[in-house]
Amino acid sequence: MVTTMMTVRLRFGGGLGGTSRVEVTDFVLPEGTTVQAALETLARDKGDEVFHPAVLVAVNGRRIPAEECAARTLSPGDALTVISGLAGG
Amino acid sequence: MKQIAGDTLFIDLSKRISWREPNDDLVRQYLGARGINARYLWELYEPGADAFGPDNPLIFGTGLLTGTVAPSSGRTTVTCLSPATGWYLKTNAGGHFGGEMKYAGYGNIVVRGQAEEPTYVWIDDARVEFRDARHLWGKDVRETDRALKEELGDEDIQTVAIGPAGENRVMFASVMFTVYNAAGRGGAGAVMGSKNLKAVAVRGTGAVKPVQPARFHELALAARRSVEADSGFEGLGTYGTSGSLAAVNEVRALASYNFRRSHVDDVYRITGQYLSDSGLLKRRVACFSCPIGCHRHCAVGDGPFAGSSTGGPEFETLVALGSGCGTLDARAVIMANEIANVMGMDTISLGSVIQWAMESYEKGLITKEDLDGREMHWGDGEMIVELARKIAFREGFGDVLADGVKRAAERVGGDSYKWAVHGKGLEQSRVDTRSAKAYALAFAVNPRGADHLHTETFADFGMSPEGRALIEKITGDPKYTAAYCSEKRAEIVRWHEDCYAVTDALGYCAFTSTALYGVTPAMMADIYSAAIGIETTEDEIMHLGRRIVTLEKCFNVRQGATRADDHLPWRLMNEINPDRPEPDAINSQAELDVMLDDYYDLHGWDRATSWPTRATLEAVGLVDVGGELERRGKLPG
Amino acid sequence: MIDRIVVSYPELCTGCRQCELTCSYVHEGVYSPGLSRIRLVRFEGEGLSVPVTCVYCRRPYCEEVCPTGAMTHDPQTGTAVVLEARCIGCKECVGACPIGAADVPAAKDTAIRCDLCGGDPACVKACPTGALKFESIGQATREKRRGRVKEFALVMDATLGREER
Repeated sequence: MVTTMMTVRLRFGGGLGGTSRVEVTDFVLPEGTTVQAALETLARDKGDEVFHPAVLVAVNGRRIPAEECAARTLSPGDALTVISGLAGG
Repeated sequence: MKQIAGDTLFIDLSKRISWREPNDDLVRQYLGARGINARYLWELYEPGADAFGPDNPLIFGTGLLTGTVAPSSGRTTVTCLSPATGWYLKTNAGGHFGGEMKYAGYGNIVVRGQAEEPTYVWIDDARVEFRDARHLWGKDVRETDRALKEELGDEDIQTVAIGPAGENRVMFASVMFTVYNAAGRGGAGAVMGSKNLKAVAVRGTGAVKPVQPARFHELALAARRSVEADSGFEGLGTYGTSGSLAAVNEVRALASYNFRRSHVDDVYRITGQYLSDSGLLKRRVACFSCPIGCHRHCAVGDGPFAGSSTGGPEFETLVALGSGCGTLDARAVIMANEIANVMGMDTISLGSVIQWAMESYEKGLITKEDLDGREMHWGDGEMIVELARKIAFREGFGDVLADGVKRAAERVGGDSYKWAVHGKGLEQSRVDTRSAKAYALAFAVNPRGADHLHTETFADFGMSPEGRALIEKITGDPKYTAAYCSEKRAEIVRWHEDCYAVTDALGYCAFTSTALYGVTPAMMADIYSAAIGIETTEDEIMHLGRRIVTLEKCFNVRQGATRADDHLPWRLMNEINPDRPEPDAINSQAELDVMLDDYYDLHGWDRATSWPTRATLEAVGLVDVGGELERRGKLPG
Repeated sequence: MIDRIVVSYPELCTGCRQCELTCSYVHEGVYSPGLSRIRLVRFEGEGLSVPVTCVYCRRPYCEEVCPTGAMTHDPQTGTAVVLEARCIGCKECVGACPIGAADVPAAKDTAIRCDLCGGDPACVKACPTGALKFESIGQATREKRRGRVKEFALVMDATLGREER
């Protein structure tokens, strides 16, 4: 069986993985990948800091809490944000 | 208690006299700073008195803990009737003035009357002098500070001052605590200008001593360790408040192009990370006793804004004068910030009126002729800088903008009120409340107007693990840590109101308790107990916070406030957030009404009017306030 | 005798005053920068702050000019001692110190000088940014030398045309 792939826009950085900016790249994943699975794939390259509790994970601008990541499926063209969330205002 | 709380210094500018009174009772009832200020304003302000007249008291109050080693505990509140809104105003600044004031022996300074000529007040420990400031009038804030230090022969005195904006009664003129700190919002600087009070200079050689010094010191050290252990501590110090721009942008809450957008594609060039990476950040600056050190000093070396060197820019400034105006150029923002700092103007309001003007120009309601032959486009950094100067001096169109966005829209007319983004007449903080519902409720009910500095519900974003834990503690369920969820917001806002009031009154920075979460109400109760030698529980201190919040609401009720005044800007209530086009991405009246009903119920305030009931006022220890409201027909039912 | 002293790194100082508040508390039991043995020289308008404290001169003028012998040092450790009962508050030490590290505060009337807290300076522990270090002057000098060289390298970079990004 051939796995259908999809492209998601990954928005990564803001302090994570030594990247100051939010870098936008294409992230090719199997269709139906969950946010959790996508993070695990990302961690292989960027390290475990993607799972740090102060990291902001969002899809299309909506924050996905850690406990929802396994249930939330990504669709083609979604924007997946994984950046460092800092305080102040 | 006096050696930590200080006395209240009364200053009458009309009669050129001063006297002092002890504070003990007020400390026990209202804690300090903002709380005691609120009580003085309630008693000394007579409804109907002109905001720019002799009977609008201008009150400075520094924290009960100010002067001690408690972390980030030196903040000072400035309180008066706002000339911009006609409502209650408390505005707060860090810096070092509060510490010096406390060493001079004062916790609060009440300024009344009006000087005949430009004057400054020199407080040298117990000695108070009224001095001629005619030679200082017209000088900017930096020049004034230097001139005072030279004139008084001491480089280590502390000053607060207004710049030309305050002298010219710009409605968002600030009281500057040097160029690194502003008691910025609501036009307190204009009130100071209307009193012909150019500056207050202070030297304090005394000492602050808690009633239980050893216990106090231990608790202070523990508080500091707790703040430093927060997950956001290092980031806030390293990148400043501007470190969170990228994250806020990601969740579509970064107010851009006058709230027409809530997300920009390349925000990096106006983030704290960029300020560090690019070398624009020259050094970090800390407030009194603060281990976080979030303030910045930035300077520009090249390009059209070269030579600019100033305190900031903060998050709000980078959004208000940056993405809000379509200017993703940190250098332009730094220069505009410098003008605001030295002229003495609030950057949030400054950015807001300029954005409003840009949109009005785009829509043809303002023309080149109005702008003295100048065109105006989104992202024009040089125009922003030029306008900032014109506003400070009320030159040309600057005179219209200097009155704030609400009045400017009334003057220009047409549909321009629809994009005048304010609540109660105060320009909104740069958070898109369509993406953050606890902020939305907080902004709507804030007595001074639509901003975050009554509550700082940063936990609403759910980005900080400590913040999420707090929301879960308040609401009982982690599912409420979602910013676009409008349920349980009343509980979240109420907790934050109480905590923030106690924070302000003690002199703690909000960043210790509601952006980082190292200082909890329980810890505040303990350190307050050691400070004044009277055991106080967490419930009791939060109750005092509740009393302060309620008194501030009562002031507005006496001024004529009703439920209708707890509103949000037209744009946010009527237009869906275009960068997150979902049905809940709007602050609809229906949604706001549900949140307001919950909020008023929780507070024991009447739903129809928003007025506190007699029973509520009794429960919170404001029986005499209830009596006065009743005489004025302002008690519900 | 004195090997390590409190060395300040002003480029790291944010002006928070935790050092002054801690020192005054440890020595006098109250919070008052005027009673601190380490003082910040502040340039408020520019947000600059430089900590100054006793550098333990090999030949301390403050001790030599003292008419009563109140300004002295522990013969074993070399750390400063002010015999307060003997101090008449004449302020000769204040004038003699070339860097202003000795003082007679208004609130005290007798002289104060940094005593290194018996070998574990409280100010160093209180500093949140590492702007104060308790180290031998030789080590401090070596580090400063290295730091300056690094700075120079950056200046060279800039001169050779690396622009702000």
